[in-house]
Amino acid sequence: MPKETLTDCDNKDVSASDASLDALRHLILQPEQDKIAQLQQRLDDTASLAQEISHILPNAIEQSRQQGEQLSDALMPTVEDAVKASVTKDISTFADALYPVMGPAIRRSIAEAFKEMLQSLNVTMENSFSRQGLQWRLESMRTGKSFSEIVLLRSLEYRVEQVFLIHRETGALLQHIAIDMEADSIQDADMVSGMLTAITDFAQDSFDIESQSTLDSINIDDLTVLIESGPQAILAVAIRGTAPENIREILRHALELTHHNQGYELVHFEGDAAPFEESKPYLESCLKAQYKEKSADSEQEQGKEKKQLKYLGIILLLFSFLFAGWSYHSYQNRAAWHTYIQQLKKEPGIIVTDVQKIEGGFSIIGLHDPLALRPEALLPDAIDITQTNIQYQLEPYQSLLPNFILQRATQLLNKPKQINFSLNEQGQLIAQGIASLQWQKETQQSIRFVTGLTGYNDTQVTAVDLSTFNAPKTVTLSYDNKGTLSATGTAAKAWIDATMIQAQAHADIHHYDQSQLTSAEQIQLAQRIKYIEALFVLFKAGSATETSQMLNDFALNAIHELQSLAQVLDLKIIIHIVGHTDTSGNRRMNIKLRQQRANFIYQFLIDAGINAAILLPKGKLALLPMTDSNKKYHRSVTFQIKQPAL
Amino acid sequence: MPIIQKKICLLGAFAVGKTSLVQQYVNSIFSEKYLTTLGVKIDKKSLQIDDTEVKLMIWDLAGEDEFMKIRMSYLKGSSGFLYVVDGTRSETLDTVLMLHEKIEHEIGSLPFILLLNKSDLESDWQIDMSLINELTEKGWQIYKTSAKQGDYVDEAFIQLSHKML
Repeated sequence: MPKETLTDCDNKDVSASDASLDALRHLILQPEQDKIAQLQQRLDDTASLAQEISHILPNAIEQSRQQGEQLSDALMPTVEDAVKASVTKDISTFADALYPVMGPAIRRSIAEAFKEMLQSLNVTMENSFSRQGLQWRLESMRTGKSFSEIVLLRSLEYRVEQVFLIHRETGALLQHIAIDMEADSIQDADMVSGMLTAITDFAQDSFDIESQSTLDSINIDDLTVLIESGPQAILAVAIRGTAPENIREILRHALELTHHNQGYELVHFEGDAAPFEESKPYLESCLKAQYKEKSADSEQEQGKEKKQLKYLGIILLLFSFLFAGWSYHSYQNRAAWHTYIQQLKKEPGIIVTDVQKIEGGFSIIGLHDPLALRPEALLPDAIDITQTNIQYQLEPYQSLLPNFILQRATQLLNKPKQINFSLNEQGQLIAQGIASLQWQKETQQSIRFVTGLTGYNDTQVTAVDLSTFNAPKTVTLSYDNKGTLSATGTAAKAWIDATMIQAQAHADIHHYDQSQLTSAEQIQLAQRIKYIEALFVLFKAGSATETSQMLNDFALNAIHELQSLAQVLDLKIIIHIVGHTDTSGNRRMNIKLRQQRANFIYQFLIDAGINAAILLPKGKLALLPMTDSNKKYHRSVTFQIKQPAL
Repeated sequence: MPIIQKKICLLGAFAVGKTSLVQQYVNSIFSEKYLTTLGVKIDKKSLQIDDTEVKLMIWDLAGEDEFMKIRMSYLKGSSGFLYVVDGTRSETLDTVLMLHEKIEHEIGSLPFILLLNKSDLESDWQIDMSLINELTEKGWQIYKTSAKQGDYVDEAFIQLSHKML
């Protein structure tokens, strides 16, 4: 009962009632009045009231939390505003407060992300080579989806892929989130939203459902669209896999929060969806996913499969080794073939026009000069000819390469060893060296049969090798390729004789002209004769044994040489030893003296080793006209050399 | 730039050319079969009106005839209507007038524009032009459009957007 009402009434009654009634009332009502006064005082005293509330507030909050999240939702805007105000005022306060939790929070977030990634990776790895994995690979190929996508889908219990917040009346899309907004499967969310609305309207109309009720879910294959309706908005989520029952709770809660916090915006929606950005965190809480747990049976099964896979792996490994070996061998063989063909193509005198694969090997088609290497000779060891069928279809041809022209000329012309062939720039064959006149003649006839030549030059070819005559430097030999050998100059008789014999024996020397050739011994002989015939042995007057000028060693040596030269030249010479006297005295005595003097020198020369057969001593009158100055020469011996054969 | 979504409905009798009229002006991901199954197909067209991007969600409703009635539930939440009449078929104007009356009654007065389609065949038109003039005098905005030639289709969308904002 209000106090004012009681007091007014009491005042009216005071004037009309007696004191006893007042006392009675006081007696009856005084305790309540005191309590009311105390309560009023407690209410008016804010400090005291705050203290009392502080005692019951924690308990009240706890009870409210247990009943639901209304208190949290109610407090959220205030708390958010307080936080914003605090951050705006001084960011350091908040930063200091958050500092101890930031590090662990970041680490935890990273750890969670790693855990999720590893879980997905593990599933992928485990399923990559299992039977199931192979099935999924086939499915991946069949559907065109990536293998990782198939693994993810098949190893998922469920996954909320898209969330649509739709304005119920207009069907307008208020907010849309997806796990991957760039995914191909994401269609235009505005139109999907409109169509979902149309479908729910259609269902409502068609089956005469109450206006507040709506389509609950749509199932297509392994995709489910769960629809949660609120008074102003619809929450639709696309879920891959089998969603648990509690997912609806999550959706409902998110929708309730949206209605609670953005009820005004929903009611007064005029097409602007921007304010509903705030509802994004609620919608993101709906993006749940759960992986399938492995059962004990499946683990056992997997263990068995792993064992089988181990053997399969070993077999595959062996096959891989064999395949690798075969591949390597095949590669080597191919490489060797390639090298061989390249080498054949480079080889002079071989032209490869085609290489065809035949059963068990290859057929090489082209041209081959008989003078070139046989292609078989170039086969590398790496090609096993016992295992490879090689067929050569090489037609003969004549290469015009210089080496081949020279080889061909050598063979065809039967080139003598002492002949050298070369080609000049005009393509003429140049022959140099010694060859018989017969060969030269035949070559001039057959040169035209050598393919690739433009001409023939044999001016440097001779039939006679003049060096074989060993002519001394004083002799010049020449041969005119018509069969005449000419020699000019001076040479020893022995060489002259030998050359004569050699020239006569040579088939291509038809005439030997040595008219201009002089024997060196004949010249020496003439010189000795001249010297000896100028010698005088002078005797004392009247004596045939006492000389005033005897033959010295030089003169004696000259006589020896004369004797030798005569022998070499096969000449018969006689050295006439002529004794002289002057005219004084007895003529008979003088004749005798002349003979005695000649005999004396004759004996002297014999003693000196001269052959007596070539000496002829005889007396003779003085040869010179008698004068006083040469008188002593009248008592002398002189020499005259006769060549009976000349 | 702010984005405003508006739901508009394309209404008219059967085979007046509603779908053809918008086909080349809109983004579409749904096939025509939705029209015969659900009775509606939703397309989208974005326009810039002043400093606002208007995202038109066009609900193309299956034509009304004696066998099929328009589902009124599809009309709720609409911000405007495009009525389509086939100029060569006078009865299609009657259908639109009836629809308009029904909508005014059940949903209320909302911006709309009347499109007299098949203007490329104007010489064959059978609609009562005096009636059209009457409607004009009553304040109806009317465009002669051609789905075939694309005449005045964009203009109609822009005009309706202006009226809705």
